[in-house]
Amino acid sequence: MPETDARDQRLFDDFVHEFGDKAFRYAYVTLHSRPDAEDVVQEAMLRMWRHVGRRGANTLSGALLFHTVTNLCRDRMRHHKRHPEDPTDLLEVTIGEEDATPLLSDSREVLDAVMRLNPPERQCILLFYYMDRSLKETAQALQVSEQVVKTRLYRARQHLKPLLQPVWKENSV
Amino acid sequence: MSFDWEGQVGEKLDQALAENLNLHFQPAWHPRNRMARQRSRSWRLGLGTTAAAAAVFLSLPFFVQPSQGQRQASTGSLAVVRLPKPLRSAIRALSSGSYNVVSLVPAYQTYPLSKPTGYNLRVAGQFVLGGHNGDSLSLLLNTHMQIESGVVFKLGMPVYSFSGSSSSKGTAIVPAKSMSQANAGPNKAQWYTGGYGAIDTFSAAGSHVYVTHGNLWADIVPGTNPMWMQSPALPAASTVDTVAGLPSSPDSALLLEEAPSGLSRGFITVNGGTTWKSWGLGRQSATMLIAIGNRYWAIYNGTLAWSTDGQGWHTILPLDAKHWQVQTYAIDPVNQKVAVVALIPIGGDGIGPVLQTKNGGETWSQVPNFPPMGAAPTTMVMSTNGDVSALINAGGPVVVRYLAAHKQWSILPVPSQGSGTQGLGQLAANANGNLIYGAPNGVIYESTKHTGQWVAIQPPSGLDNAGVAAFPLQAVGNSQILAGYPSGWGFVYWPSSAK
Repeated sequence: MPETDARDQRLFDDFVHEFGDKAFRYAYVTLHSRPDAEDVVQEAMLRMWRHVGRRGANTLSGALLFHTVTNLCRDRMRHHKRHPEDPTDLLEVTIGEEDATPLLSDSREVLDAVMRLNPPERQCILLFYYMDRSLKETAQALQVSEQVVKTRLYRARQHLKPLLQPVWKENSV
Repeated sequence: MSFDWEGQVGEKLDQALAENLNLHFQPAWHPRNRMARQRSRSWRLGLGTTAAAAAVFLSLPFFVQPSQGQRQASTGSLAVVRLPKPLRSAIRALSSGSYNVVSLVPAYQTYPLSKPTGYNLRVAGQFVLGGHNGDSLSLLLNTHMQIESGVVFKLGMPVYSFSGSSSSKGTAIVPAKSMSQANAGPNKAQWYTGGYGAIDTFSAAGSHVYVTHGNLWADIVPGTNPMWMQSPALPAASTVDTVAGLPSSPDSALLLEEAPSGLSRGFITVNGGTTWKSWGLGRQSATMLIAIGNRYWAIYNGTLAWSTDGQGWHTILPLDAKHWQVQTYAIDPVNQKVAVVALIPIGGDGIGPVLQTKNGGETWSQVPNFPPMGAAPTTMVMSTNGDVSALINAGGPVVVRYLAAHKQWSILPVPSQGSGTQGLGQLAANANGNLIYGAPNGVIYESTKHTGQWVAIQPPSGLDNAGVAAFPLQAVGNSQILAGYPSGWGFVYWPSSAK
């Protein structure tokens, strides 16, 4: 069990407050499963906690957290791919239980459109547009080059454009 | 309106994820809270596992039934030993009926390793080996529970022993013959009463004869009534005293007061018991106190140690106190640098190795192949030629002897007294090395080296009504033997027959 001093604990609490929600939502969008996202974000925060115990809270960063969440999501997806019979495999389910929750029309359409992207593009969209990560930070989190991020964002935009344009036109009338 | 989704997609996603799907990081997910829950879960899991293990252990007797052979003679449930099937078959082949397991103890023969090298199994029943009938069988098993050697007993006396897989090619143990004391000389075998009532310890040093009984001690002056005094610390009646007087300085004696906890306080006198002073060591574990020459010897805090003044103790056996303790020991009566100790595991259950030193503890060597008799020795004595004799009280007293010249243990038959041999025996040796054996029925025997026979010494008239082995039993020089009985104690004049 890592030993942290009071200052590190306070900094870690601030870190959780700042990034906890975003990490959870990033995991959810990546995995499209609330239970899996809950597991992943808890495991990621636990690793951050241990990291603080070893190296101090000053070394914490959002990039490190999202990098960890990305890896955990990748592991989770690999697990589901290897065990398709696993009843917890929800990746292949296009409409989850939570999707039945009534959404505001435009935000629901946006989320639905993003969720139709493939996971790498989803992650890029989330990190870049929702988490306000820079290209460099997004690339670090996804362990790819910035050029790859640019390419994925370009493709994601190409895929989203036809999906979102009608909605916008409708709302803007 | 132009499509400006890049400026609003983040906001819309936040609205969908936060407000509509209510995806928020929960405080319970904080690692601090999560680890607290894990600790609590681990604690509950450990508690549950322990409880389940205890429940399984306690319920084992209801599910694991003893074999037919064991069940017929055994009444215990938790104490039933479940033997492997091949071993059960092997024992059935040796027995002519049902049998039951008396004891199964680990044997350790690779000091200082505390890992069992085998087991000593004792079973009761009807056995016929090599044409010899017996009512109990002691087997030495290896770690795979295979028979390596064994001894057949009849009425507590060993009658047949074998080694190896073939039990029919063993050696018959000829019962010892004993001579009556009728051939004794005019004064031989004459008893002199020392006192009435039992005594616990006895120590003769010069003109002093120190004895203890319970929490009382006395210095016996021949021809006078003993003055029994309470031990120096005025302890409770449950205290048991042990005394030893230094032969080289008879006015010096060490008195140990052993509390029911097993810890003792020591008191020293240098004026024959007129005044006593504390040994200044507080409560220590000190047992089997004796005095030889100018030294006190005792099992001090689990290991063998000596002292010249009762205050400074010197350990000559650096034991691993986590695993071993000394069960009994013997000192060469003429050379105190030669000693032998029998060890037992610190838990007390098992037969440990026997170690010997010839240089005052600088080096120790193992006396190998202690015979499988079902228990560790309770008493050992050493002869001046290095021979070691050990008394084992397991079912019946058995004496085994290690001949230094042959470097092997052998069973020394003691006189049979029928069913009376099943009980505790006593063993001592006189200055010449002749063995003094106290049989369970109260008779004392001396083994003569030149004849190999046992000579019986009948207990004193009036003190032998209990029919128990003499205790204490001690040789005083070469011409006297002290024996205590529940109703009194005395000396018998018995010049040693050794030349």
